[in-house]
Amino acid sequence: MQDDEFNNLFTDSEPYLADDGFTEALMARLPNGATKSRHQVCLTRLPILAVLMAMAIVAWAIPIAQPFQAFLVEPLQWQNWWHLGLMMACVLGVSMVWVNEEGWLKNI
Amino acid sequence: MISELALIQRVQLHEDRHAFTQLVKAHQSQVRFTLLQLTHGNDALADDLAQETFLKAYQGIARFNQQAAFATWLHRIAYNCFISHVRKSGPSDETAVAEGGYEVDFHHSLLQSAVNKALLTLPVEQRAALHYGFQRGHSHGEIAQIMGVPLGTVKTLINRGKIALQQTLAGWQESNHAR
Repeated sequence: MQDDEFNNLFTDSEPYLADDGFTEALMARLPNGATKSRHQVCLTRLPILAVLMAMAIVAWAIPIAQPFQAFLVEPLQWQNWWHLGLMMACVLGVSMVWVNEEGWLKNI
Repeated sequence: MISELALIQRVQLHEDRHAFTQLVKAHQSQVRFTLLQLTHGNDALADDLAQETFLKAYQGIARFNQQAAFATWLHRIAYNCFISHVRKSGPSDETAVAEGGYEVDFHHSLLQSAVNKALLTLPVEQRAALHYGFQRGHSHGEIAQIMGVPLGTVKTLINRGKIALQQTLAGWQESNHAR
């Protein structure tokens, strides 16, 4: 079978499926106020942005590399593990909230 | 006649259900047919997944930013719904062929029907790539977006699918000529 012939087979192979109450059934299931307006979407991002800004201020006030340097110099000090853990938890938490708000986890 | 973009904006800004109804009516056939292809012609399952697709589309329409066509965006949601279903129910459900519904519902020519049937014999990714590429007319880039795979993978899937489908259809043509 030639390529052109093959391609042509597809162009007409799709039927139109009659609605048959599909839209009506869907509209009955549609929740009220389910869509998030752009304004609402922006509002949900505000806490995340606030946390990011707070982290930036902390990083500015306390040099962010310091816990990492301390960890590398003295990895056996429990305080260094504690500082590093806190920072990682903070970053991970913000990322998770962001990912959830974006709905990226819904289809996994 | 209101443009699709205007309808989308009405839903985004005012949660206009009437506008969403028109969008559903315009796209329901394509989405349902795609899901019918992906689910081996299981029309009940395809319709359930199509309902889920449009529900998700309604809930997430504020995030639609017109970077892709609305149809491409819808198909991406539909494909994700299908993949989620396959993951939940396991591969055995994905390969379950509902022979009956397909033939009774579609009034096609024999060859067109053979194309659709031959598509159902392919692995799901090849089937999806061929369907989006040839029946939907999406570009390779759009297919990559819909299926969430790299462009190279799309090309490979299409090439392999084409070869497999050509072989199946060649066999079908030979047997038909022999009759």
